[in-house]
Amino acid sequence: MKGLEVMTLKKIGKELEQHIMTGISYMIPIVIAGAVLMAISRVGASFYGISDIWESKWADSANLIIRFLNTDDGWGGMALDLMFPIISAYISYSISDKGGIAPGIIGGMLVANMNAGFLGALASGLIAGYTVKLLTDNIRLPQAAKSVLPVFIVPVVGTFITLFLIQYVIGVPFASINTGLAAWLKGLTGTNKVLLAAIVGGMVGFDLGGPVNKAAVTTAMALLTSGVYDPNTAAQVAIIIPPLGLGLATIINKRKFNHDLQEAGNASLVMGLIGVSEGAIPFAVESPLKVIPANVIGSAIGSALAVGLGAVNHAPISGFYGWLAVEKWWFYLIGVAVGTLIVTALTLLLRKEQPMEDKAIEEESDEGDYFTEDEWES
Amino acid sequence: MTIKIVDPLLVRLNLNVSSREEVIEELAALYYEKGIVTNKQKYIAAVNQRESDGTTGIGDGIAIPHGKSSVVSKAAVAVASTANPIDWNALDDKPVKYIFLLAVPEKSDNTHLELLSELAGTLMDDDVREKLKKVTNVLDLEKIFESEVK
Amino acid sequence: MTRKLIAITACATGVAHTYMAEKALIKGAKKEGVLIKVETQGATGIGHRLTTRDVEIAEAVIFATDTKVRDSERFKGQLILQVNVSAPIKDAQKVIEDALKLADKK
Repeated sequence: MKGLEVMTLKKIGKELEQHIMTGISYMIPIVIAGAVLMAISRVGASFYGISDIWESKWADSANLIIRFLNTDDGWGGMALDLMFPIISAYISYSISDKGGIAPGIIGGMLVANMNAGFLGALASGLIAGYTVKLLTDNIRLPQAAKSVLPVFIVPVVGTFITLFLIQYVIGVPFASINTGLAAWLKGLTGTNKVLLAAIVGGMVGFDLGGPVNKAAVTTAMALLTSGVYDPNTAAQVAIIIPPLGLGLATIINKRKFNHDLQEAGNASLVMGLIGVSEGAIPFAVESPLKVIPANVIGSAIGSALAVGLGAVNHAPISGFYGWLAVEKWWFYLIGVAVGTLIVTALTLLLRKEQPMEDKAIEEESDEGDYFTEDEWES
Repeated sequence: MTIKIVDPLLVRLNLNVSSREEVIEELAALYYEKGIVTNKQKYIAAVNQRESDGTTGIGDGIAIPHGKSSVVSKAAVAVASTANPIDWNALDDKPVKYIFLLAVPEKSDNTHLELLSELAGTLMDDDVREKLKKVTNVLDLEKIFESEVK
Repeated sequence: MTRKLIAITACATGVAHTYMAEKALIKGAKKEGVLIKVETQGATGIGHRLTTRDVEIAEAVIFATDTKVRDSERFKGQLILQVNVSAPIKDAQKVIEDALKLADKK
């Protein structure tokens, strides 16, 4: 059987894709719930002229509505905090059934706690899933002891191995990437401000809340407190470009996204407007190799443009409610718009049309899909 | 590129046999020669065991017997066509002319097994069944079951 | 409205009949003008896993299985037609008609 190796790779790729898509489809409702909760709070707060409703000071406001909006923002944040545990749990579930959920969800929680970003969550789901699969496929126990496997060995051993690998094998390099990049970035201050803005923007767009992003954002914040505004301006522009760009792409050409991602696109737009970069995560998880370059390029150019034209954002706020407070806000918005359009254009360029691609493959290997998901639902 | 599921070295066309046992014996011998099966008798026993659980004659003159055993070293399919149809107790009560004997190891990576599953699935295709009836040489046979991989 | 079914196929070895039954059911459903989703429970794992949404949508479930159905609690309370894995290979249209009849009775 020659050529099996090629088949193997293709199969593995297809299998991985299926597991990841399962994870994404379970995560999206959570993203949507979180996005809308946050949008209610932030849009509501903008009527009161508040652009930092998440700050704890608003919890003690005399105004009942403001107090509620603060609480509601917390709810939204809580929902979004569940993104990583859920996607990790369900990627794992897709690989190894029910047994995969416990290690997957706990691993995802660790990823969330140590800011390992969506790449960490992806890794966590895959590690948990394949660990459990390995355990259930290979441990053979005598009949009398069989019941310990699903209730004890799989959850305990699976979780332990998953956490261990994430903490030490993934966590350590991620942490050093983070501190290394932060130090490097600090060393760059004072050089060409447009170049610096491009670097900060690119880093923020890279992993959407992961170690690279966090290195850029925390450095920008630190510099902000010492009165250096350009990195912050760059970071705030870059935060919203990926979710806006990807959301716009789903609206311009729906056919390049499956049903789940179309839903995610709307949420992503909302999240972009309210300044939450995580809206782009479902897309980044689904096809990191296409989405990451598009985000990096779009964010870098958008940030460089805004800073280069002289826009200055004095606050760590990226949502629409903060836009008008930016010095030379029109240039700031040009930066956002250009970056967004670049992400949209690159995404649409890199993606193939979904149904066409599916059909071409399915027809050969699988005649199962003679109807669409919409026909099934109707 | 193209993947060939059927290995030409594991094909016997126009076999002059008169019973199910003889076909399985012939193909099992091929497996044994190629080292795919390390103990012919044990493998045949596994195939017969499966057959006694229910016929593998799936109709239209096709049978897909299979044996899962620890004496199988790797997943494979051996193919035979018979000179004369033989009785297989098939689902449609018709005699069998095309035999796909699967060797299934106790433990295998999924990919090889999936290839076999895919082959089994294709046999349900009317198109494939028609083509099968026109097969005169190994090349024709290979062509039916090769799949395109991008 | 188009009628919708779901099915599980599984056989003892988990390599051949599971997938032949799957293809047979899909072929049969096409001929009957019925939409069907088939989950294969084979030696290589579960293929095309049915979601709770699929279970909700389908009028009835076909178990074309010679072994125990994995995660069968998903189908609790559903109309289930149990047949051998070879039944659809022999005559898939009949199996599908039987499943539809089962749904009609209710």
